[in-house]
Amino acid sequence: MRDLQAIAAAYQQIDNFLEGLRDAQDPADRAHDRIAQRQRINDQAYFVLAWGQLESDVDDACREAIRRGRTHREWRHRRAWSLYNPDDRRLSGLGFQDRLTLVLEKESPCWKLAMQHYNVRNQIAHGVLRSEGIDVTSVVQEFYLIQSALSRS
Amino acid sequence: MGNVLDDITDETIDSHHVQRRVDDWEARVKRLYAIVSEWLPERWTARTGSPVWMHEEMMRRFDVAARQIPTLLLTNGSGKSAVLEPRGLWIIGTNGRIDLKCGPRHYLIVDVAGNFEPPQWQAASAEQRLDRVDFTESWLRQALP
Repeated sequence: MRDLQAIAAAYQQIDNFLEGLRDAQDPADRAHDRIAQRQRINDQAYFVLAWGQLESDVDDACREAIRRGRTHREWRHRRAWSLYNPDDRRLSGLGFQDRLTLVLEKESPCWKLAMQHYNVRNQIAHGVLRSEGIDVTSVVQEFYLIQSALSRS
Repeated sequence: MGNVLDDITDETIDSHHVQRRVDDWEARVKRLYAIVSEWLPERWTARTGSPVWMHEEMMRRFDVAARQIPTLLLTNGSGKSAVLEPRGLWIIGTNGRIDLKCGPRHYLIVDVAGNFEPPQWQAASAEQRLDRVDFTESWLRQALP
Protein backbone atom coordinates (compact mmCIF):
# COMPACT_ATOMS: atom_id res chain seq x y z
CA MET A 1 0.00 0.00 0.00
CA ARG A 2 2.88 2.28 -0.86
CA ASP A 3 0.69 5.11 -2.18
CA LEU A 4 -2.01 4.97 0.49
CA GLN A 5 -0.57 7.80 2.58
CA ALA A 6 -0.30 10.00 -0.53
CA ILE A 7 -3.89 9.18 -1.46
CA ALA A 8 -5.06 10.04 2.09
CA ALA A 9 -3.13 13.33 1.95
CA ALA A 10 -4.59 14.29 -1.44
CA TYR A 11 -8.09 13.43 -0.20
CA GLN A 12 -7.65 15.55 2.91
CA GLN A 13 -6.46 18.54 0.90
CA ILE A 14 -9.37 18.42 -1.53
CA ASP A 15 -11.96 17.76 1.18
CA ASN A 16 -10.66 20.72 3.18
CA PHE A 17 -10.89 22.90 0.07
CA LEU A 18 -14.51 21.81 -0.50
CA GLU A 19 -15.26 22.31 3.21
CA GLY A 20 -14.03 25.88 2.90
CA LEU A 21 -16.36 26.47 -0.03
CA ARG A 22 -19.23 24.90 1.91
CA ASP A 23 -18.58 27.04 4.98
CA ALA A 24 -18.81 30.15 2.82
CA GLN A 25 -22.40 29.28 1.86
CA ASP A 26 -25.58 29.76 3.82
CA PRO A 27 -26.68 26.27 5.00
CA ALA A 28 -30.17 27.04 3.71
CA ASP A 29 -28.83 27.77 0.23
CA ARG A 30 -28.83 25.13 -2.51
CA ALA A 31 -25.17 25.86 -3.21
CA HIS A 32 -24.40 24.47 0.26
CA ASP A 33 -26.06 21.15 -0.65
CA ARG A 34 -24.31 21.05 -4.02
CA ILE A 35 -20.93 21.33 -2.36
CA ALA A 36 -21.90 18.68 0.21
CA GLN A 37 -22.80 16.40 -2.70
CA ARG A 38 -19.38 17.06 -4.29
CA GLN A 39 -17.76 16.12 -0.99
CA ARG A 40 -19.64 12.80 -0.99
CA ILE A 41 -18.54 12.12 -4.57
CA ASN A 42 -14.98 13.02 -3.65
CA ASP A 43 -15.17 10.65 -0.64
CA GLN A 44 -16.19 7.81 -2.93
CA ALA A 45 -13.59 8.53 -5.59
CA TYR A 46 -10.81 8.44 -3.01
CA PHE A 47 -12.32 5.42 -1.29
CA VAL A 48 -12.08 3.46 -4.56
CA LEU A 49 -8.50 4.67 -5.09
CA ALA A 50 -7.56 3.61 -1.55
CA TRP A 51 -9.28 0.27 -2.01
CA GLY A 52 -7.04 -0.45 -5.01
CA GLN A 53 -4.03 -0.20 -2.70
CA LEU A 54 -5.45 -2.80 -0.32
CA GLU A 55 -6.52 -5.11 -3.11
CA SER A 56 -3.04 -5.00 -4.58
CA ASP A 57 -1.58 -6.03 -1.22
CA VAL A 58 -4.09 -8.87 -0.88
CA ASP A 59 -2.97 -10.09 -4.33
CA ASP A 60 0.70 -9.87 -3.36
CA ALA A 61 0.07 -11.76 -0.11
CA CYS A 62 -1.90 -14.35 -2.05
CA ARG A 63 0.90 -14.86 -4.58
CA GLU A 64 3.42 -15.23 -1.79
CA ALA A 65 1.25 -17.76 0.03
CA ILE A 66 0.75 -19.76 -3.17
CA ARG A 67 4.47 -19.77 -3.94
CA ARG A 68 5.30 -20.95 -0.45
CA GLY A 69 2.58 -23.58 -0.55
CA ARG A 70 3.68 -24.92 -3.95
CA THR A 71 7.23 -25.43 -2.77
CA HIS A 72 6.38 -27.24 0.44
CA ARG A 73 8.46 -30.37 0.69
CA GLU A 74 5.45 -32.56 1.47
CA TRP A 75 3.02 -33.22 -1.36
CA ARG A 76 0.01 -33.38 0.98
CA HIS A 77 0.69 -29.73 1.85
CA ARG A 78 1.44 -28.50 -1.64
CA ARG A 79 -1.20 -30.38 -3.66
CA ALA A 80 -3.99 -27.83 -3.11
CA TRP A 81 -1.69 -24.85 -3.67
CA SER A 82 -0.50 -26.34 -6.97
CA LEU A 83 -3.95 -25.60 -8.43
CA TYR A 84 -3.07 -21.93 -8.58
CA ASN A 85 -0.54 -20.09 -10.70
CA PRO A 86 1.00 -17.19 -8.74
CA ASP A 87 2.36 -15.67 -11.95
CA ASP A 88 -1.03 -15.47 -13.62
CA ARG A 89 -2.31 -11.88 -13.59
CA ARG A 90 -5.74 -13.07 -12.47
CA LEU A 91 -4.35 -15.69 -10.10
CA SER A 92 -5.96 -18.56 -12.01
CA GLY A 93 -9.33 -16.83 -12.06
CA LEU A 94 -9.66 -16.53 -8.28
CA GLY A 95 -12.28 -13.97 -7.31
CA PHE A 96 -11.48 -11.42 -4.62
CA GLN A 97 -13.35 -13.32 -1.92
CA ASP A 98 -11.32 -16.46 -2.60
CA ARG A 99 -8.06 -14.55 -2.75
CA LEU A 100 -8.89 -12.91 0.57
CA THR A 101 -9.83 -16.26 2.10
CA LEU A 102 -6.44 -17.68 1.14
CA VAL A 103 -4.69 -15.04 3.25
CA LEU A 104 -7.22 -14.22 6.00
CA GLU A 105 -9.30 -16.49 8.20
CA LYS A 106 -12.86 -16.34 6.96
CA GLU A 107 -14.37 -16.06 10.43
CA SER A 108 -12.10 -13.19 11.45
CA PRO A 109 -13.35 -9.60 11.96
CA CYS A 110 -10.79 -8.37 9.40
CA TRP A 111 -12.14 -10.74 6.72
CA LYS A 112 -15.67 -9.48 7.34
CA LEU A 113 -14.55 -5.86 7.32
CA ALA A 114 -12.62 -6.32 4.06
CA MET A 115 -15.61 -7.95 2.37
CA GLN A 116 -17.94 -5.18 3.54
CA HIS A 117 -15.61 -2.59 2.06
CA TYR A 118 -15.31 -4.70 -1.08
CA ASN A 119 -19.09 -4.70 -1.51
CA VAL A 120 -19.25 -0.93 -1.10
CA ARG A 121 -16.35 -0.56 -3.54
CA ASN A 122 -18.15 -2.73 -6.07
CA GLN A 123 -21.30 -0.66 -5.89
CA ILE A 124 -19.39 2.58 -6.40
CA ALA A 125 -17.07 1.21 -9.09
CA HIS A 126 -20.04 -0.19 -11.00
CA GLY A 127 -21.94 3.07 -11.07
CA VAL A 128 -24.08 3.14 -7.93
CA LEU A 129 -22.95 6.08 -5.83
CA ARG A 130 -23.66 5.84 -2.11
CA SER A 131 -25.55 8.52 -0.26
CA GLU A 132 -23.56 7.97 2.94
CA GLY A 133 -20.41 9.90 3.60
CA ILE A 134 -17.13 8.03 3.84
CA ASP A 135 -14.51 9.02 6.38
CA VAL A 136 -11.61 8.14 4.08
CA THR A 137 -9.08 8.69 6.88
CA SER A 138 -10.80 6.11 9.10
CA VAL A 139 -11.14 3.73 6.19
CA VAL A 140 -7.41 4.07 5.42
CA GLN A 141 -6.67 3.11 9.02
CA GLU A 142 -8.96 0.09 8.67
CA PHE A 143 -7.12 -0.89 5.48
CA TYR A 144 -3.82 -0.83 7.40
CA LEU A 145 -5.43 -3.03 10.05
CA ILE A 146 -6.56 -5.52 7.41
CA GLN A 147 -3.16 -5.45 5.73
CA SER A 148 -1.42 -6.23 9.02
CA ALA A 149 -3.58 -9.33 9.44
CA LEU A 150 -2.78 -10.84 6.01
CA SER A 151 -0.98 -14.17 6.22
CA ARG A 152 1.67 -14.73 3.58
CA SER A 153 2.71 -18.21 4.63
CA MET B 1 -22.32 -4.77 18.04
CA GLY B 2 -22.03 -3.93 14.32
CA ASN B 3 -21.03 -0.74 12.58
CA VAL B 4 -22.19 1.58 9.82
CA LEU B 5 -21.10 -0.95 7.19
CA ASP B 6 -23.39 -3.51 8.85
CA ASP B 7 -26.26 -1.05 8.75
CA ILE B 8 -25.89 -0.30 5.06
CA THR B 9 -25.17 -3.85 3.90
CA ASP B 10 -27.43 -5.92 6.19
CA GLU B 11 -30.74 -6.67 4.51
CA THR B 12 -32.43 -7.49 7.83
CA ILE B 13 -32.19 -3.90 9.11
CA ASP B 14 -35.61 -2.40 9.83
CA SER B 15 -37.10 0.96 10.76
CA HIS B 16 -37.00 0.09 14.46
CA HIS B 17 -33.24 -0.39 14.24
CA VAL B 18 -32.79 2.88 12.34
CA GLN B 19 -34.95 4.72 14.87
CA ARG B 20 -32.88 3.30 17.73
CA ARG B 21 -29.68 4.37 15.97
CA VAL B 22 -30.98 7.92 15.60
CA ASP B 23 -32.11 8.03 19.25
CA ASP B 24 -28.72 6.71 20.31
CA TRP B 25 -26.92 9.30 18.16
CA GLU B 26 -28.88 12.17 19.66
CA ALA B 27 -28.18 10.87 23.16
CA ARG B 28 -24.44 10.51 22.41
CA VAL B 29 -24.28 14.02 21.00
CA LYS B 30 -26.01 15.47 24.07
CA ARG B 31 -23.77 13.50 26.44
CA LEU B 32 -20.71 14.82 24.61
CA TYR B 33 -22.01 18.37 24.91
CA ALA B 34 -22.47 17.86 28.66
CA ILE B 35 -18.88 16.62 28.95
CA VAL B 36 -17.56 19.52 26.87
CA SER B 37 -19.45 22.00 29.06
CA GLU B 38 -17.72 20.54 32.13
CA TRP B 39 -14.29 20.66 30.48
CA LEU B 40 -14.39 24.29 29.35
CA PRO B 41 -11.59 26.55 30.56
CA GLU B 42 -12.40 29.48 32.82
CA ARG B 43 -14.47 32.27 31.24
CA TRP B 44 -15.77 29.96 28.53
CA THR B 45 -19.46 29.16 28.51
CA ALA B 46 -21.59 26.78 26.51
CA ARG B 47 -25.11 27.24 25.24
CA THR B 48 -27.29 25.44 22.75
CA GLY B 49 -26.91 26.86 19.25
CA SER B 50 -29.06 26.63 16.13
CA PRO B 51 -30.05 23.01 15.54
CA VAL B 52 -29.17 21.13 12.36
CA TRP B 53 -31.63 18.91 10.54
CA MET B 54 -30.86 15.21 10.48
CA HIS B 55 -32.56 13.26 7.72
CA GLU B 56 -29.98 10.87 6.37
CA GLU B 57 -30.59 8.38 3.57
CA MET B 58 -31.07 5.47 6.02
CA MET B 59 -33.83 7.47 7.71
CA ARG B 60 -35.51 8.29 4.41
CA ARG B 61 -35.27 4.69 3.25
CA PHE B 62 -36.99 3.43 6.42
CA ASP B 63 -39.46 6.31 6.81
CA VAL B 64 -37.91 7.57 10.00
CA ALA B 65 -38.89 11.19 10.59
CA ALA B 66 -36.32 13.94 10.26
CA ARG B 67 -35.24 15.48 13.50
CA GLN B 68 -33.34 18.47 14.71
CA ILE B 69 -30.09 17.85 16.54
CA PRO B 70 -28.71 20.68 18.63
CA THR B 71 -25.36 22.35 18.07
CA LEU B 72 -23.29 23.69 20.96
CA LEU B 73 -22.01 27.24 20.91
CA LEU B 74 -18.92 27.95 22.99
CA THR B 75 -17.95 31.54 23.80
CA ASN B 76 -15.54 33.28 26.09
CA GLY B 77 -15.44 36.75 27.62
CA SER B 78 -13.01 38.06 24.98
CA GLY B 79 -15.36 37.49 22.08
CA LYS B 80 -13.79 34.22 20.93
CA SER B 81 -16.13 31.45 19.95
CA ALA B 82 -16.37 27.93 18.63
CA VAL B 83 -19.22 25.67 17.61
CA LEU B 84 -19.78 21.93 17.83
CA GLU B 85 -21.97 20.74 14.98
CA PRO B 86 -23.15 17.16 14.35
CA ARG B 87 -22.10 16.21 10.84
CA GLY B 88 -23.66 12.80 10.36
CA LEU B 89 -24.26 9.38 11.84
CA TRP B 90 -23.99 7.04 8.86
CA ILE B 91 -20.46 7.85 7.77
CA ILE B 92 -18.53 4.77 6.67
CA GLY B 93 -15.50 4.30 8.91
CA THR B 94 -17.01 6.02 11.96
CA ASN B 95 -20.03 5.78 14.22
CA GLY B 96 -20.87 9.42 13.72
CA ARG B 97 -18.95 12.67 13.38
CA ILE B 98 -19.19 16.05 15.06
CA ASP B 99 -17.25 19.02 13.72
CA LEU B 100 -15.62 21.60 15.95
CA LYS B 101 -15.13 24.88 14.16
CA CYS B 102 -13.15 27.68 15.79
CA GLY B 103 -12.92 30.45 13.20
CA PRO B 104 -10.67 29.17 10.40
CA ARG B 105 -9.67 26.09 12.40
CA HIS B 106 -11.62 22.93 11.81
CA TYR B 107 -11.50 19.73 13.85
CA LEU B 108 -13.19 16.38 13.25
CA ILE B 109 -14.47 14.49 16.28
CA VAL B 110 -15.52 10.93 15.48
CA ASP B 111 -16.91 8.05 17.50
CA VAL B 112 -14.91 4.93 16.72
CA ALA B 113 -16.99 2.58 18.91
CA GLY B 114 -19.39 0.01 17.48
CA ASN B 115 -23.14 0.51 17.28
CA PHE B 116 -24.78 0.98 20.68
CA GLU B 117 -21.46 0.69 22.48
CA PRO B 118 -20.21 3.36 24.88
CA PRO B 119 -18.75 6.08 22.66
CA GLN B 120 -15.01 6.36 22.05
CA TRP B 121 -14.56 9.87 20.78
CA GLN B 122 -11.39 10.71 18.90
CA ALA B 123 -10.36 14.02 17.41
CA ALA B 124 -8.01 15.41 14.78
CA SER B 125 -7.50 18.67 12.97
CA ALA B 126 -8.82 18.69 9.43
CA GLU B 127 -5.27 19.31 8.21
CA GLN B 128 -3.78 16.32 10.06
CA ARG B 129 -6.54 13.77 9.97
CA LEU B 130 -4.32 10.73 10.35
CA ASP B 131 -3.00 12.11 13.65
CA ARG B 132 -6.18 11.28 15.51
CA VAL B 133 -6.05 11.16 19.32
CA ASP B 134 -8.53 10.53 22.13
CA PHE B 135 -10.91 13.42 22.70
CA THR B 136 -9.92 14.64 26.16
CA GLU B 137 -10.18 17.73 28.29
CA SER B 138 -6.59 18.72 27.51
CA TRP B 139 -7.18 18.21 23.78
CA LEU B 140 -10.25 20.47 23.93
CA ARG B 141 -8.42 23.20 25.86
CA GLN B 142 -5.61 23.17 23.33
CA ALA B 143 -8.05 23.29 20.38
CA LEU B 144 -10.06 26.26 21.64
CA PRO B 145 -8.76 29.63 20.35
